[in-house]
Amino acid sequence: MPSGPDSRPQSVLLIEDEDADADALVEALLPYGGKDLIRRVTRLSEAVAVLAEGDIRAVVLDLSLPDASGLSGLRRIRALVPAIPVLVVTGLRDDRLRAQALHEGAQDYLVKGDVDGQAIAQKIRDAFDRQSYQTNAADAAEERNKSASEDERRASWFAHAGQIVSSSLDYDSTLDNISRALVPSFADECAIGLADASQMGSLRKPPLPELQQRIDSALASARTWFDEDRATLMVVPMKMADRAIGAIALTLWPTRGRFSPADRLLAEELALRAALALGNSALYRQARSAVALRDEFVSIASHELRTPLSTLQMQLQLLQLKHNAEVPAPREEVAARLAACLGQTKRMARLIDTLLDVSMLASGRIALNQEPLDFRALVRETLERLRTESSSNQLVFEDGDAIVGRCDRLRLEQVVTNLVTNGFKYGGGKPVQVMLKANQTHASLLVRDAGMGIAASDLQRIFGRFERATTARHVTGLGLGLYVTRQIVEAHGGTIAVESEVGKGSLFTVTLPLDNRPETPQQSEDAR
Amino acid sequence: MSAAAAEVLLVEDDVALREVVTEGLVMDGITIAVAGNGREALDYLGRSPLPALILLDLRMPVMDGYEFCLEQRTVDRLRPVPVWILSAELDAGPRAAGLQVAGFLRKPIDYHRLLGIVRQYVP
Repeated sequence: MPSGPDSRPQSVLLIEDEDADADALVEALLPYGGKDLIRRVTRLSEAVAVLAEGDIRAVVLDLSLPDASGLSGLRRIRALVPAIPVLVVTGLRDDRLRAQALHEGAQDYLVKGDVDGQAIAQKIRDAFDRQSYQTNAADAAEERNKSASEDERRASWFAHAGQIVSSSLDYDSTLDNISRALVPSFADECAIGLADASQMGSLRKPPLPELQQRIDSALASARTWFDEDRATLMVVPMKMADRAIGAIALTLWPTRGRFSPADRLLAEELALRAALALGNSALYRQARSAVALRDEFVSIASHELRTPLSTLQMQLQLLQLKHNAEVPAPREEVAARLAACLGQTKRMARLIDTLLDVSMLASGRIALNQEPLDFRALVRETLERLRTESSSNQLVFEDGDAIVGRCDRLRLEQVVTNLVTNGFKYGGGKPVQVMLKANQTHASLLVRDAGMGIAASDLQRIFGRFERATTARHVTGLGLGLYVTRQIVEAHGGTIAVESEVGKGSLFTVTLPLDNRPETPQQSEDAR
Repeated sequence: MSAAAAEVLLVEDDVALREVVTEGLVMDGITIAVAGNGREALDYLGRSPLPALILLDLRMPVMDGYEFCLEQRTVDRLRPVPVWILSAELDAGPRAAGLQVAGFLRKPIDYHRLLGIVRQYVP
């Protein structure tokens, strides 16, 4: 694009030994910067020295100078700086000289007295325009070539790096690949921080504290840290949605230069690609572990169903044998075997219910049918049932006054059953103690066993799905009891906690809000 | 657990299954002792005459069937006692092969099949 006179200071060199002529010219050029624009010298030798400095964009040359006359000055200048326009301003009206000057490369030939300062200013402006147009065109062409090849280089690097970053579905390999894509082709060192620190492999070397701080702040803000002045370090966030799931710190050794703003954009773009790759591999890992967990669950569930099925089948086979025998079995024996069969069918039904519960709880669908009831009566009745079902286990319960609150009767029974049967299972044959306490707002159910206890490292895990503190082979049961219990308790707005000591036993405490607000369904109906 | 010589030792943690197997075998005139897990079984074997056959569940608390087999093999006196695995696990067959036991019976258990096996060892 053409532009106006260059207003950079002292970009026009005026070579004029006559003060009056020089002053007139400076005055004429005042609107364009005047004195500041013009640098004046009186001799050609001085002019040569100034031109060598390289700041001059146009020359106004008088043909009669103390150290040069005629076109010798013009030739000297043209030889020295051929790209800079030279305006000849002279007192000589000489057409041949004019033609010669133009032939030798003068931009124009102006006769003092024929043109005023205004006209000279216009000529200088024209000269500037032409020159900057030519320069701009040349620069633009060069810039285009340069940036095209730079763009190509970046695009090809990015395509390659992007490929490396997304070449694996394995999480740890993806972390390695991010480093591999960036070092050494883009940076000399690379450190990665993750929002979920547990995802970092244990072998990965932690970054220096100062770097860690920058990584942490990029993680928190989800923004790039880049100091253009220092530019040997930048930290770019790996973003998914608007959250940083990680951050990459990139370092250049001082000998290799600095990151440019374009490098920053490139790094940010690759970090997005890296976030996507990490997200994918995390999902893949989750899916695989979910499948492994499900396989383990199916195996346990199959085991748990086959055991009561064995008993049922054998009881029926014994009944059949008795039935076919010459001497029929006494009525009491038949009744006992039928009761045992029914017991096993109930047990299988409970197992199936638990399986359904789990799939329901996992998808967050737990419908509570809350009603006002006496917690103590409910616990008492549940314990009586458990006593008759497992006569070999001892149960201690201190009865007391009614504790009235609102909850889902069947679900609370389930909670009591799960905790007490757990106590039987892990209680080492010692009595399981059940207590019920209440204050104004909450009721607490405490179930204590004096069995093997739970290691501190397992305490949180035991409330997870398919989790148990012992190894799977040692287990009987689905490993779902405490998971289901916690889900039910939390659906009631309550909490469950455990204290335990290995070898001494465990104490489970369930706290439920009594929620004794008067029942006003009518009001809530109106309020909707 | 009876200290008298039993022909079969049943190692199984499920009480109902233990009862029905015992009732069936007793009905057929076989003497049987029971243990709730591998540890109880080793304790029993340590202080009682050896049975002709051990029926062993795999998944049990305290000491499971695998651990019991490994322990049994380290004790000279116990090593010759044949073991049949009773398990609900799908891959218990191949695993039983690795445990060098006499055989494997998958749950749910067919009583007639079980009796047939016991009769091989207790005529």
